[in-house]
Amino acid sequence: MKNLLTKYILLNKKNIMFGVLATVFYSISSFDEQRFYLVALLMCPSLLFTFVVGKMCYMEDSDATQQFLLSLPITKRDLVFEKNIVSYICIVIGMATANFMKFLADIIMKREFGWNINLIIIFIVFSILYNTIYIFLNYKYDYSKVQFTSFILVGIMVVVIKFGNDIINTIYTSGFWMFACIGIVTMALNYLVLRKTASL
Amino acid sequence: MSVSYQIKSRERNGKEVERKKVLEVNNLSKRYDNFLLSDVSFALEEGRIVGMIGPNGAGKSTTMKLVLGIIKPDQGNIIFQGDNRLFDDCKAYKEKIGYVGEATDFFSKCKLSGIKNFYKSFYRTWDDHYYAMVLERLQLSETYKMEELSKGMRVKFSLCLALSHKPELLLMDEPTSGLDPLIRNDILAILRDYAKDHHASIMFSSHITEDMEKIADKLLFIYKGKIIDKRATEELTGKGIAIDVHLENLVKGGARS
Repeated sequence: MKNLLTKYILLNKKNIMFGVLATVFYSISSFDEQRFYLVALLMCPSLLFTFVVGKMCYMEDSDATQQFLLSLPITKRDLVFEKNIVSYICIVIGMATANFMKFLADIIMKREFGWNINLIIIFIVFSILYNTIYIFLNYKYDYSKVQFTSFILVGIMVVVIKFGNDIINTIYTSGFWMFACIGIVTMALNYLVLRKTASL
Repeated sequence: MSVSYQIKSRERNGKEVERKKVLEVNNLSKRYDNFLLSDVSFALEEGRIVGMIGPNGAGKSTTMKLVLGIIKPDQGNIIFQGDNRLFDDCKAYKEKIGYVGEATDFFSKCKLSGIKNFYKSFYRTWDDHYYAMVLERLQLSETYKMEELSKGMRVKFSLCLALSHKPELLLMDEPTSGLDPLIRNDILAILRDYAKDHHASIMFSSHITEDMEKIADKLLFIYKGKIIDKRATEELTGKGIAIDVHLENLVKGGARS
């Protein structure tokens, strides 16, 4: 697995750099207002994932590359879980960048530090679901089908617009454990779906 | 399950030599919606080159992929160095195999040096000196990107990678198709030297019977998913029978194995 992860450094350096730059750019938007912090929480992990994992899925989307990879001492399961591990790394780095910039912005702008763990968990859950569906579509079908993952984003937006205030209130007033449980269930779901994907 | 494998085989010069069996494939079958590979059986010995020949869609690539473990057989077994590899660790088995596929434009936007570094990280037996030597012999430079190489150069690079971890079994799926005679000769010379120097077993499929005549010790004729004939190359060339004519006769049902 370690060898597979080095693939990103050896073959995808440029896109990792672009991903980091895009993440930093979006996280800077936290300096403006609280609502831009929400955008940063959504965009930072997503952009990093798209530049790093998405680009790798694109690079591997040919029979020649698939056969080359499967001729190595690895299995399809390794390839699927390598994408998943990198997607978790993208979420961690994306969230850390967005929150660090928010922390910095609150200090510099002398604002009250508005940091909510439930909110972060919700965005992490969203990112995990998005990434799981993306990787599933890529291996079940091919790279051309992963564009359908964007429809999830649109669907979420519709829900947020429709029930925006209720959702925000629930997030701020509910207990941490409920959201922690949602997070754990999502991670279990992610594991089960990708284990199934690897055996397809 | 571990079995000792020593078999006698006839050399091109007619001498009988005892050799270790590297791979034994028994009754391998795989069914697809519109194709059936059935009861494929053959053996590969160390230091020998086996050519697999057959028309398009005969099952050559499927057989290669089954042996490599890219696809799973419906039935049959593959015994590698005495162990049934279907029950073994697939990764340990693949470490001892080199593979050159027909499509060689993998990671097309990447530099050869990056692909090499990625590839070599999987093999404990990787030999940098040997890699540099083969690269030089094939007049390749690592500074290129994969997409900048011609098909012939891509095959050469793939071969370079596949040989540099010193595989005991090399599988090549139509490596010389679409290449000019000069490049084909370079590749065949390297294969011949590798099998001889490293006592490795090589199996390659091709449409080009001329290549088979040049380097294959043994031939497997495959048609409609079945091995229809196996014989030493010498048996045909010694009698002045062209390989393509023999295949044609087999396909028409005019020959007896």
